[in-house]
Amino acid sequence: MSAHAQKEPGILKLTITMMLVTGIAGVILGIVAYFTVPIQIKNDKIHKQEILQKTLPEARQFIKLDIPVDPHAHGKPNPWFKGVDESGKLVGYVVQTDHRGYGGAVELTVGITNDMKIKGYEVLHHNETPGLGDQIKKENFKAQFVGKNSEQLVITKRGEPGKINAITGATITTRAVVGGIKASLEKLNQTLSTQ
Amino acid sequence: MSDANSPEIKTLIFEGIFTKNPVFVLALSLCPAVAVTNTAITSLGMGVAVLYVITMSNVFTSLFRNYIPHKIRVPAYITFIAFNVTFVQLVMSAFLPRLYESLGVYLALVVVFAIILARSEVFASKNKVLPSFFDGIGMGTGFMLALLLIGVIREFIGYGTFFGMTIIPEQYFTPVLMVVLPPGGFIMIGLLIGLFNLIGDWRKSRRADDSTQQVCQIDQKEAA
Repeated sequence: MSAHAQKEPGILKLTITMMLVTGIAGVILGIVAYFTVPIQIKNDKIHKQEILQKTLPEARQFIKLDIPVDPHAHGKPNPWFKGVDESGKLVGYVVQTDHRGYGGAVELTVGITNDMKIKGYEVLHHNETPGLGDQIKKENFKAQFVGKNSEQLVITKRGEPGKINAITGATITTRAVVGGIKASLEKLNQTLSTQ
Repeated sequence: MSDANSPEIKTLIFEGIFTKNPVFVLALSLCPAVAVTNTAITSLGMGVAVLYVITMSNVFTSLFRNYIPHKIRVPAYITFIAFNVTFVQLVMSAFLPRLYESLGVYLALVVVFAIILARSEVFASKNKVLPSFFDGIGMGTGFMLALLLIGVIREFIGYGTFFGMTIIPEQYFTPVLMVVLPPGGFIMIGLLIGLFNLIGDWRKSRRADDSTQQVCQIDQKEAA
């Protein structure tokens, strides 16, 4: 015990050791981040561009719309775009929205045609129940939205034709998708008519 | 501090995968074992990340074991672990963004996985660099294989797929949804732990049988 107590390092040594350990670790990580973060940002941009292209395939170029978008759960608001083809003709809009689902915000990118009908959507991010809520990513669920306008977005649980069939066991998630798309459609419509 | 006798590399790896398997035998880090194992690919991603972190943290701990004062060893080890986890996060977010997204917060939580700090404290702080490295490899591989096994089974029963490839077409298959939800994960892990124990018991009884047989033979000889 006494021999051990003799070797007990002072507070100064402890502090300096810890400072060295954390300091060196921090510097090395800083160097690593210097190389990886630009790659990450680049990949992220490519991925976002791919999603825009997927929701509005006819468009060759996406121009940011001057619409104030509510900042969402992840901090930065996702901008809205209008898509134009080679000749500069307007082919539609891409809006990004998030709506409260069962496990948090369901973030969507929605393609909209010139006459305010839904072209399709992609799920950017969600936290819904696997197997239930994540069926919003399935093609046969997505297909129900194509060609509908905001008034036609009505949820049914009895499989009525022309309406959106709620996913069994994931009504809240269905509502999040329908609600999010509906709200952004209406907002887009409103902003465009006032402009 | 004196080093313990260096154990053999083969034993270290065997122990990590079988006799001291982090998930099935030590029952450590069960939270991620449930949370990220509903598909095979996320299980594998998490497993590889942990394999890397546990190995490198063991190496760092062992390298600096004689310079870190006893009093601050835990914060120092945690810093080593956090360093390696952040490194994995940075690399993964740059090159495997989809996997990084699906692992979510659990990748950052690798810092506090009991198994990693346990290996630093129990093994790497008392052993030389090379055995510590192989202890990390063994334990990490054991963890990875355990996660992968759980993930492959859950994905197959829950979605009918293997690494995202459809094995059973949807029209012939009703997915057992519960298996991909957390309760199903716990049940699956329970069953696998049971299976591991069964295998362990079987091996033990076989060894016991062998020795009783030998004893019998000796008895017979003596009787003769």
